[in-house]
Amino acid sequence: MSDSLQANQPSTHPVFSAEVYVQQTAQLLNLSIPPDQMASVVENFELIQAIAQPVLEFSLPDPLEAAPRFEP
Amino acid sequence: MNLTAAAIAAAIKQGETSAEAVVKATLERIQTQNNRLNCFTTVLTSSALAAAAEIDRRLATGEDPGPLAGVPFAVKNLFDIAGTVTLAGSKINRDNPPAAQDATAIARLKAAGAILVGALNMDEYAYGFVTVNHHYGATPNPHDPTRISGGSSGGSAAAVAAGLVPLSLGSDTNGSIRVPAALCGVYGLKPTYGRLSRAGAALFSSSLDHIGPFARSVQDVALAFEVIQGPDERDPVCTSRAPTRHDLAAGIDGIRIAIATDYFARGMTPPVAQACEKVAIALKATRTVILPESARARAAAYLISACEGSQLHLSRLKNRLQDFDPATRDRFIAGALIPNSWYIQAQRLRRWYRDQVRQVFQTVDLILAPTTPCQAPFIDQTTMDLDGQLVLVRPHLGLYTQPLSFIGLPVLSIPVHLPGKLPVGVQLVARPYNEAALFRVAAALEQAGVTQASII
Repeated sequence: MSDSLQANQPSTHPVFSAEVYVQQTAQLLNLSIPPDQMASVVENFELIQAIAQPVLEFSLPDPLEAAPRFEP
Repeated sequence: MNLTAAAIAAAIKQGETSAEAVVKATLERIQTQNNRLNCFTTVLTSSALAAAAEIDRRLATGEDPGPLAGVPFAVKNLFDIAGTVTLAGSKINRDNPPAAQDATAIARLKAAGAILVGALNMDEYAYGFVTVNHHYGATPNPHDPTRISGGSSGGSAAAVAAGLVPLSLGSDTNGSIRVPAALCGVYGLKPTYGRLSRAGAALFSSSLDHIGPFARSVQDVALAFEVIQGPDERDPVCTSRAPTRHDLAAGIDGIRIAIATDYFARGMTPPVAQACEKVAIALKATRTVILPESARARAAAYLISACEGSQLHLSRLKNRLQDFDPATRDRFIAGALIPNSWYIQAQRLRRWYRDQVRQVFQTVDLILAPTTPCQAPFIDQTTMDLDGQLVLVRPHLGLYTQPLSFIGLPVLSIPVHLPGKLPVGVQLVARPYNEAALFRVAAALEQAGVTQASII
């Protein structure tokens, strides 16, 4: 594949937009977010996203299931 | 009131005073001081006086009303009180009908002779560490009214610290009993997950929710724990283990004690480090242990709380959004949007972390860790300096509590007062169902004068 062709292809990994995600997912859940709160919700979601990264990056073996009734 | 719950019950049983006199004095204190302390959102004057008269009547006929005869207590306002609307710190819940029956924990304390005098302030729906409530105001710290009492069970801790009641109940999902206990300088017990019934307590995040008592003595905490224990069909996670009794005079011989290092030794202010050192020296604890991946554990606890809390309140987020506390509203909405794989990974990590910590408990019985990274921050404070880093106050108060409740370990936050400083807390952490070790070690420290919870 030539460089020029590659440049014309849409990226398979477009930049994630928390704002678009929040808007779309809230619509999917039938959750109405007033415009003046949108920035704060997006900010909160981005915070959760940052907090989630080390959890998501951590490799767990397939047989390790969550405890359906947690026994400490 | 400077007597402990056990001392009040003893004085009433011995006829030195009456339940009615104790309850009247308690109600009077609440009446005169609650304006300043803002602990109570509901005061149950007539039912408390009627219950006191009944205790006195039973004593007069030779009956024993129980180990907490005539002891006044109060509860975080997320516990159901028959005939009262359960607020859970919200405006929205004011529209609910009154609760049909008492929460199990309340019913069991009453069955032991205790008298419920009211309900206490909290962060809305238990989502916070500060008890600065948009609808019901802030509950200031009794040690310094310009500072927070901690949360979300802030009213429960402050009411005990200020001597309004000797005993209270709170709930703890990520630290909501231990954080305010530490900042207000009282004992706060978060028992093993499932050990005390949560039936009739409004949930926040069922996977992580616990209930537990606050008091100013180890004996009172143990006593409350003992009488609330027991199976309960109304709480699906409540254990069927038989209730235990505790010998506080057993001493600490044979209890292997270690200090949590690594994650739990970083990011605290000097007074907190000094308090931990004081407790470790008193216990002659020198061994250290590492609870691996505790930062990830804390992050996973955050994800589970956010997902479950937001899902629980989804209908209200849709229909009553503007009636939420602005401090919780946008966090709840954001939590509702978390992809399911993040939640499931967090739940699987919980199991993994539990297994790692179980290994650690094969060679130790009790672990020491700080409760909060700092003393009580100011009510309007948003950032603080920890190890030279500027961090947000509110989320950081749970730094050391979140990984431990994540896997349901029993933890007692004990109060340490260094001269001229605000109180701080140290967590005593045991393996699941070994609350007995917490009480034995805490009693030894109390006896030695290392910890104290005197009234402000």
